[in-house]
Amino acid sequence: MTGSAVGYRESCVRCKRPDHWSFIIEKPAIPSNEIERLAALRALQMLDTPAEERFDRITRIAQWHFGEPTALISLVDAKRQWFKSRQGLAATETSRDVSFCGHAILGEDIFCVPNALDDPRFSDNPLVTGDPNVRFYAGAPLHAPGGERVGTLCILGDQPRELSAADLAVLRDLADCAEGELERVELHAIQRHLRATESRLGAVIETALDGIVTIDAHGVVQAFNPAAERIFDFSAAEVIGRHIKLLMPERDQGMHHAVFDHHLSTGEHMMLRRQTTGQRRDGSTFPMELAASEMEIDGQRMFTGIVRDITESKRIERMKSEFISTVSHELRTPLTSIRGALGLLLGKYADTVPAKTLHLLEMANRNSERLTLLINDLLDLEKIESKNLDLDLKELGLATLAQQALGANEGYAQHYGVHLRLGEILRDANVRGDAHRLLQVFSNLLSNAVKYSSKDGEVVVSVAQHGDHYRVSVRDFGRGIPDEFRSRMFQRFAQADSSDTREKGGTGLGLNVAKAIVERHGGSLDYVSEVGVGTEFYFDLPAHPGPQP
Amino acid sequence: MTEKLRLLYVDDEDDIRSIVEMAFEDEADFELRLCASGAAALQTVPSYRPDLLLLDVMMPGMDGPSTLKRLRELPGFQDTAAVFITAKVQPNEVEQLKALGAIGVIAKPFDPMALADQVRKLWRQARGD
Repeated sequence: MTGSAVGYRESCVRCKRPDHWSFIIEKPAIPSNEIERLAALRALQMLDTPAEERFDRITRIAQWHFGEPTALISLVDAKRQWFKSRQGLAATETSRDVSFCGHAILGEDIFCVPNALDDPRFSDNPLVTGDPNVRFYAGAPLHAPGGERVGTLCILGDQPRELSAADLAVLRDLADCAEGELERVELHAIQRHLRATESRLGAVIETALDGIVTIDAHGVVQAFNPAAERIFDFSAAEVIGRHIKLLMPERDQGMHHAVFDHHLSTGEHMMLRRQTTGQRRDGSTFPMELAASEMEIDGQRMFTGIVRDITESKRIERMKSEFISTVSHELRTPLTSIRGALGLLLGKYADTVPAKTLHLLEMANRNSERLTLLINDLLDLEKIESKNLDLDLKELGLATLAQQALGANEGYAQHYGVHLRLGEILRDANVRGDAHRLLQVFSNLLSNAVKYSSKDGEVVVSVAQHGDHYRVSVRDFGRGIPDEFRSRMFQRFAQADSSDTREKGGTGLGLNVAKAIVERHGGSLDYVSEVGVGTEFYFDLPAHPGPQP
Repeated sequence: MTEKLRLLYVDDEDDIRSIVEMAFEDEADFELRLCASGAAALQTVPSYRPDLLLLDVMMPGMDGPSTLKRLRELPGFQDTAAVFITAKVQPNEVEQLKALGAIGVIAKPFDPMALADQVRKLWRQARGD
């Protein structure tokens, strides 16, 4: 048989009939770690790369030393062997199935074929039966840095040959040199990867809009990105190597040291975000948001601060606050005249005007009062949002407060023909709170409950223990709140249906304000409701231990 | 019958002055004079000799606090009681106004039917009655 029969007579391989061996090429076996082996080969990133002198000089030495026509560095891929370096061979690769090297990588020792014609595995190999008429083969496995046998350094000759022990040792030494080069290949690959990662990270840091400053455990600046240069008006070169206090006003330096020392001495991991003050080169200061975190590099504790100049957002916040304050003042002035005029008319001349006129006057008066409430709510909400709401915290009894709230809203309830009453009231339910603001919450919940009660309905206020909180509930037996309205319940200017706005009065802000006030007290406000049955609004406030008897 | 309490109300808003005037017209225990500006008030005070100043805060030219300061510099008026009637009613604003020596602050919009009572109450409190 000739080379045309190569390889694929597998039925004969399986039948193992002795008379068949002479025309069957035995394909090299697949190593048990083939998947890892191929992964290691791929990781070298050497397949199909140009020839390199550092490998070629090894094959040249082998060719010269052994006096054989062919010396190769072969990498055994999944289906082929590919030659990274070749002396005396034109082909760049051959099928793995016909390769000698495929056999050589199966063991640790040098794989020798003294005479291929005498070896049933190769006697019918096309490389033996035809050009280059291989008779002799010796291949030393090449290991990837992880130990996988990825290829060989091999010599081939057209005459049978037995290698001496000394020759085997030389071949192994040369193979070791080739392995050394493979390691360098891997090191280069790692370096390339690191450089790519570093330049990606570098690009992120370089182009970030926020300043990024890294300091060591002594507070000495190690890195300073372009955004930080812009924010502080210092170049990186001027800041790196200097103490971080350069970037903060003197009055804040003590604070910085305290926080910093605390973390260093306790070993507590630093993770903070706060508003503070930064200082530019010219000594001017600016409001700054700082997010600081900690990392460990080479056993050294390092701290990274991400900083943002918030001058602009502070300015906008202030403008908004001033705007609301101004608008509400400007609205109050004409409203004073309207409400004053209507109040005087109704107070002094109500009995001199016809019933229809009186009805219209009352309507106008009621709405001017509503407008006043709306302006108050707007101001309150703005104050709460800009965190300018100062609470006058005192120890308060919720029972007393509930009683007061009932008294204050009695008149309003009567107007709607609704009866307010105290339900179960836990005595000695004390909280720390601002009485005026909490009464505002009560009033809001009570007026809502009254508005949505039917005539002759009842609204019940109760105070109860709820875990380590006290729960104040305001219950009505009105129409209830549809479920689909829940998500909009605490939005501004929300009422269950638009017709309610006219029918029920109210600003649509009150519940917002009430919720915000309760939250500022460390509590929460919510409700449960069933359509046609009624609604219970409640707020929970942290219990405050009362005076000991 | 006791002597009437002499009030001077200073506000640049014509309408609000009218409201205040009507709010006090049936109150027998008050006498009221109105001024449209701080400057006018400075001219009125020496001859009118008010017991209590009712002052708007935001006024063009001379605002309420400046008016009070100038009035207090007039001989014989350094202790004249004052109440601000103002739309600036945020707690910090109220505190600032009281710090100027006002005996009270009444928020705009006010209830005209209750205004005389409010003033009476503040006056009594200040007098320690």
